[in-house]
Formats: sequence, C-alpha cells, structure tokens
Amino acid sequence: MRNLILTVLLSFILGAAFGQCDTIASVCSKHIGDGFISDGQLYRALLYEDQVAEFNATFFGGSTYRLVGCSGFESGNLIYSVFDEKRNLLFTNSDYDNAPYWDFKVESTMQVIIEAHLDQNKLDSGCAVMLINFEK
Amino acid sequence: MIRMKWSIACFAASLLVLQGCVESSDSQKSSDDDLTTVSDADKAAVLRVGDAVFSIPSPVQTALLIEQSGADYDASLPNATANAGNYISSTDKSLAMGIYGANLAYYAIFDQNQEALSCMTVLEQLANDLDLAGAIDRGLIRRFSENLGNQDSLLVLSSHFFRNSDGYLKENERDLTAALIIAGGWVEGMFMAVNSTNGNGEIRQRIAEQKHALSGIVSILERHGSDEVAALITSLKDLQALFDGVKTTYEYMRPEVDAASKMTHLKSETSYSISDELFAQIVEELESIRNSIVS
Repeated sequence: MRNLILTVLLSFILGAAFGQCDTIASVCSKHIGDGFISDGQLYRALLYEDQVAEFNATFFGGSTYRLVGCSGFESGNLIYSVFDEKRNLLFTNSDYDNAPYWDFKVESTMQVIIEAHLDQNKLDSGCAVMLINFEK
Repeated sequence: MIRMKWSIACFAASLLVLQGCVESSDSQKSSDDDLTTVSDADKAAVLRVGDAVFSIPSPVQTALLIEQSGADYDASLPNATANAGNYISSTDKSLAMGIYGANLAYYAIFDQNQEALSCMTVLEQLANDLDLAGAIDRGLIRRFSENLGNQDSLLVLSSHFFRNSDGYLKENERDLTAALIIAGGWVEGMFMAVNSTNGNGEIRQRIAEQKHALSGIVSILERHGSDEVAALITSLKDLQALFDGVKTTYEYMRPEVDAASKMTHLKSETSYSISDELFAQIVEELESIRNSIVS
C-alpha cells in the first residue's frame, strides 16, 4: 500500500514538473520565427541549481540553424553554450545578455555539443527547453 | 560542477515541485530557500540519472537536400499509404510513423499535394493508434488541407506535429516510441536520398556525414530498447560498423559573430571521405533495413 501511494505521488510530481515543460516549450517556440523549421524534436531537462544539460547535434554545412533556449516564462533565464567536437567554445549566449535565440551559419558539417544551465541569478530550478530549427 | 545530461530527472523533478512549483511569478530567484534542503546525497542521486541526448537530423532537411541536388520526383520511392494497415504492433506503427513522416516531407517539397494529404491522414491514424491523440492539434487535417500548395506551411505543420508528438511521448516516458519514430524517419530519409540521386554529387557527401547521427540513433535505441527491437538494433549496428569506415578530419577555425543580427558564422572545416565500395555497402545495408521495416 505504501509503495502504491509513493508511486502515485511520484507520478503526480513528475507530471506536474514536466507539465510546465509544455508551457515553456510553447513560449519558447515563439522565438523560432518565420523561415525556420523545427527539427521535430523537443529537448528538455529538469535542472536544479548548477546542473548542466548536454546534448550532441550535427550541424550540416551550408545550413543556417536557430537555437532557441528557455526556462521559466520570461526570456534570459537559460544560459547555453555551443562547443565543437574538441570542446572549443564556439558561442555562449551569456556574452549577449542570455539571448533566448541565436542563429548559426554553418560553413562545413560539424559535430557540436550544446550545454545549458540555469542563470542562478534568476532561477534556482526549472524546466529547460531547447529547440533546434533550420532555415529552409 | 554537477553535470547532468538530458533525460528524465526523476529526483530533480521531486525537488523542483517540493521547492514550490519552481518559479516565482516575476521569474526572479525564489526567496523560499527554506522549503527544501538538498543534501550531498541527493545531488549524487541526480548524477546517476540520465544519458547523452542526440539531435537526429530532420527528414525534412534530407528531403530538401534531395530537391537541391536537382533530382526529379520519383513516385516509387515513398512507402505506399495503402501499406499502413499492415503495421500491427506498436513497434511497427512507431517505425511507420517515422517512415511516413519522411515521405510527407518528400511529398510536400515536391508539391505532391494530394499524396501529402493522404500521408498526413495516415499519420494522424497512426498517432491515434499509438495513443498520441493528446499531442495532436484538433483540426490539423483541416488546416493541412487548407494549406495544400503552400509548401512552407505544410512543412511547418508537419514539423509541429512531430515536435508535439516527441514532447508528449517524452512527457509520458515513452522514450522507445519516440526513438523508433526518429529511427524510422532517418532510415526513410536516407533511403530516398540514395535512390533519388544514385548517390551522386552532394548527396553522397551528406550520406557520409550521417555517421554521428546513426551513432546517436543506436545509442537512443539501446538505452530504451527491448527484445522487440533487438533485430533492428543489430541491423543498425551493422550499418554503424560500415559507417565507421568513413574517414573524417576536423580543423577548428575561429567563428565570426555578428551580434547585431544575432548570428555566429561557424567556419571550422570537416572533411568526410568514403570509398565507392564502402558507399555501395552502406546503400545495400540501408535498403535492407528499410525494406525489413516497410514489408
């Protein structure tokens, strides 16, 4: 019985926590803009304090990508950085007031690593959402 | 610094909610720091959660590459919508959803409007069969119909459909279904690419560039897979072994930033080298996997 209650409670907690991700994703998608198309995937993570979310992506040469990153319901809560396969820093939005979106014109196909974490001056915890979009 | 890769962070979720439903209304740092105390043991628990997440190239991008290569539309390439009824298990339906998603992009880009509409109808049915109704906008088919002939709108609508489905599946911890949809879309995109152009020109280079994307697909399926997808994983690993023969070099070049237009120009150079023999082997294996999915 106790396990059942815990299971139900955890399901409720997870549902509530991830539920905010949908709302944030909806807010975040407003930055996609005309001319860009989603890659059809939703990248999200529940972050707490200084946790860092990371994912790998291929940027194809000759394409322009728009990265959009959000947490919370206002812009600028999420700091994200783009590294190449050798961990050279290519970009961080912290240099630009935590800009919620940024475009990347790609000369040659490359593997990138994207890291995201909360700006702890603004948020202690929250659902981080990132969207990858490419220009048609 | 604690490093957590994208995933379902169960423990973090509970911490988030216990801390007071996350954000204050003004998005400023919460003052309710006394709601939860996070011990070192708790943080260690977070560390155990999660694996790497991979972004898999969209089938829409692949379809665009086919068009840009100058290839003509080939009606024999997409999987017939009449085959949709052949897919019974949730695994088969999930893969089929990815397959038809790639077909939809192909139809839309080559302005095959009626085929696109039929494909979208099949996709909606597959989504319903997979209990994805909660992710589908009501009136999607109607809006799709209203936008026939408007290529950009069709691509945006279909991309929204797949992103919503992906988010819904992840929210409901159905990562395997999400992974199978992505895998199906990738396989079909590659299948159409190699057969549209006979592997000539830029497409050949683009196929070689899929080396890392395939690794990502295999990793996702292995993480979430069950016995039901063991054969698919084995086949994809065989394909991955062939891709390992693609030679790559990378040279870092300093990016250029145009802050006014919020644009960074990535100038690093990567080269991919693939022999004729290896390319032929990859095509053969790819076709074998695709045909085993759609048959």
